[in-house]
Amino acid sequence: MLVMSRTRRPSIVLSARGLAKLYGGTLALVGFELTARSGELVVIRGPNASGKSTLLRLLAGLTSPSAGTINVTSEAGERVAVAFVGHAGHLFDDLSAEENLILAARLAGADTGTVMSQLDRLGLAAVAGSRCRGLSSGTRRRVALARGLATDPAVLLVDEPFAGLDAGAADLVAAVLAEARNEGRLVIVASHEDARSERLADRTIELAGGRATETGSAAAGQMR
Amino acid sequence: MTLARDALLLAHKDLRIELRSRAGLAATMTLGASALVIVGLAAGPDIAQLRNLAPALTVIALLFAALVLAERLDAIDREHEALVGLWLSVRDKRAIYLGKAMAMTVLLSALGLVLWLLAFVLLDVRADVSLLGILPFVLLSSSATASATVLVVAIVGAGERRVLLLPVLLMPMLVPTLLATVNGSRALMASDAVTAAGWLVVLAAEAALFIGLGLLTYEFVGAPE
Repeated sequence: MLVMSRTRRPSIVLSARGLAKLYGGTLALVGFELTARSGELVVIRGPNASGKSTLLRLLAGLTSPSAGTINVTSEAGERVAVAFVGHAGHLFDDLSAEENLILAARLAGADTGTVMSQLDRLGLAAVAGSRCRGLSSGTRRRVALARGLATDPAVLLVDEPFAGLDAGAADLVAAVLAEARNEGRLVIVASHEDARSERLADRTIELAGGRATETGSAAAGQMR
Repeated sequence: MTLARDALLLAHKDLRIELRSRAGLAATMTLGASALVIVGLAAGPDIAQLRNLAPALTVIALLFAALVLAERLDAIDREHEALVGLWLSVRDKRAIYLGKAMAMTVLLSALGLVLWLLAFVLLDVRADVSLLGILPFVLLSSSATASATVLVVAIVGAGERRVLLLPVLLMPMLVPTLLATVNGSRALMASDAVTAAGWLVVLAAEAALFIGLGLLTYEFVGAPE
């Protein structure tokens, strides 16, 4: 089921220029360039420690670049809502899945009426009232994605969305990410899961040792 | 309006989590009550001396309990990087500070009332002042302590030196709060309402100062790393 938010989503352009990040003496990312727009799904691919998570945290504004700039501009100049779904999940253990989503939606000024639909489309309706402390890691990852979407973001950044999921759950997540792109969001996914992310991507950027090479979009839009 | 509404939402979240787990409340109640009893025992059986010490003992017990409570409330947001989710969701980052300070004020006020109740029983101050009379001091000193503590916790961050830095930075900030609460409640116990009211004004000014500082700086010092 496709759930469209009632909030008008701004058309945005994200541009990163000459992005670099140093941690101590270690170069995590260097010379990264990206221009991406609403309605695109960009997959950042690479092995562990290639700089994927660093890049997403930079794009989310959670850490400052050592060099370079990131600009997110909307056509009407309004605030651009960004959601980041990282490894940790960003959930409160002693709140239920539904309470976590409602809190996030309210804080973001998004429509709380879509919360149950968000949970439902990720196969989570049965655990909506369960405290997150008791959920399995795979279920928590899906709740975390639902939480990100509940804020109705214009930019959705997801780190390893398929990690720890069985095939059925991973397919559900892939479908929801494709829907998010089709709803006009800019979706940027970091993944080392080749086949599934390849089918999903409009564009794929390979990262290795903090350096990027764009590999194009062989299977672009297969999941549209 | 968005700031106040979001702060209330976040305070409600903290209180709900705390009431469900009860970990922080139990730890702070135990620490506060133990401190009061132990220092009371160390002061000896002289009732007049115990009455004289009661305000200071209660405030000091509350300060130590505040440190434990601050750690606990901060841990709620740091576990699973929940603060990252809040930081990106909330439209006005200051709501995170204000909500945390509000939740801590409520919890510290409850703890303060319990400690004063214990002081009434253990330190025999009930002949001097009513629990209702002490309530404004409990509320305002809790508000000042909470607003300063939440700010310092954000400044110190989650590094290894936090255990040292938190009390070293916080305790000097709270000396005026401690003095105002002790002197004000002593004045109340001596039925000197005018002096007590003066100290209440001082406490209110301290609370306003710390809240103002927190609102001005939290966006720069509270960002998750």
